[in-house]
Amino acid sequence: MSDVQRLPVLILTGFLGSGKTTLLNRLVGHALFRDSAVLINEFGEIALDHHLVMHSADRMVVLAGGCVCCAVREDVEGALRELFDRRDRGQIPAFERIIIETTGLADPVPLLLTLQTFGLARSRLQPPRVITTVDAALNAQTVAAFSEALRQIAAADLVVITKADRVEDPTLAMVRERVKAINPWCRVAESNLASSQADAGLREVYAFLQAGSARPQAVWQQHPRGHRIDWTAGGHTNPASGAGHQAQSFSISLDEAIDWGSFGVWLTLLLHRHGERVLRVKGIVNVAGLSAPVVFHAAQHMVHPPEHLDSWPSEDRRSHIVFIVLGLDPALVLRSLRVFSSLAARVAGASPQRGVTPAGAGGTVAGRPIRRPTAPSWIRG
Amino acid sequence: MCGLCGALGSSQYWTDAAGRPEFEAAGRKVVRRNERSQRVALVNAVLRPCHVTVHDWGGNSFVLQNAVGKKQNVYNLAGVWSAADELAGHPVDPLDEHLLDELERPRT
Repeated sequence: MSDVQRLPVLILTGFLGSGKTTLLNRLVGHALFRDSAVLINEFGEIALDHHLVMHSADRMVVLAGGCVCCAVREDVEGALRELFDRRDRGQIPAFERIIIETTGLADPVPLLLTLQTFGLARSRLQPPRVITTVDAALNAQTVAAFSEALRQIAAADLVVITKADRVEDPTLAMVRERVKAINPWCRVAESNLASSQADAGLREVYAFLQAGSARPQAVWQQHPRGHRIDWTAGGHTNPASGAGHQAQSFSISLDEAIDWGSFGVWLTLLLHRHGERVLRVKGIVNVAGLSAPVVFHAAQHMVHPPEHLDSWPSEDRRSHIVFIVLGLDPALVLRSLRVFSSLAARVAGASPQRGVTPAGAGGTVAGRPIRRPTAPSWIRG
Repeated sequence: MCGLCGALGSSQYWTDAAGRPEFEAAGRKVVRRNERSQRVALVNAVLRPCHVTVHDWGGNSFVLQNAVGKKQNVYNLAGVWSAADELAGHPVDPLDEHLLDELERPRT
């Protein structure tokens, strides 16, 4: 099934009270978003939020009694299955997109993982886009106190700064800067959703959705520093969990080409062990043996399928990998990558298969192929 | 699925270069068997200090074994690391300086 037939899916997240439901209400009330199916996740046993959303009840599903990132993931699959089933049978009007609103405490990455691995979502939905609402007035305290708020911003493709009219311009600029420090790749929009000016913000959201998934090519352009390791953000100390809780961004650049096999082994192990602390990682990799680079991005334990570019976007042929992490030592990450990269050559040199004539079926001896042994006559009969 | 052992067929994983046309177009076609062989060698090198070994099970899954012979069968690298943690008895950490020292040490 081609991308054209797949429906866009929008994950709407944001911390408690940051304006998710208000934004959702504005979205589904707007002509551009009216033909949307909506999944609302509520933490409490008794769901209330959906009463605040003015949308057709037959295209709205409420997932109550748990957070979408842990407790009700199977419910998401069931809800999507039922929505498409009813759509295909003509029981509900054909919706053109799906909007999933998470709880205010949800980490969106497990939901992204569910949508990436769930068969129905893979075949009928486009790669999900994440919109995160950020409260202009309370953002600094929220991010400092709750790592969920940090993870929501790190996972975002678009951050909508809400209640922008309640703060002074310098504060707004600081919030914008902080968001960019946590997630340099996201688009940032400011919106006063309660006012009549909300329409412009909604059109921006719509344009963002229509634009399709952004290619992560701009990684190196946004980090054009000459240093091996570059600290771009000062970190946001979490007083609740001690000094080890900091969001930091750093980039690694490597001159030498990287063996793809050892890179895969390294990144899978790094994300397996430290995925909780790797909020986002994006990179452009000069893969040994390829004339064009590979770009990849990952969030926590989830790696999106890498993309092979047709050509290098500039004269720079180095690999650049940008990390946004919670308390990982960048020097150690760089050392680890170098050690794992060097393993490929050492393993190839020490491989017991090198220089040994394969003595099984498929190999050759003295230039003659070794065939699979025929079955003995007592089996052939 | 293998009718004898019940092993499910493996699917494409993001680390796989075999089957990607970009590698073939660059004149470096990656054969699946060779790629798995290299992956097994790399993982074995990483897990050697933990006394865990890994073998390719018929090009379909990986079998990990620790020093006392306990085994686990997994399908991809994510599964390999989960099983390695359990079989090693401690988490395998790519940022562990002792592990990196071991990996840098010339093999005799």
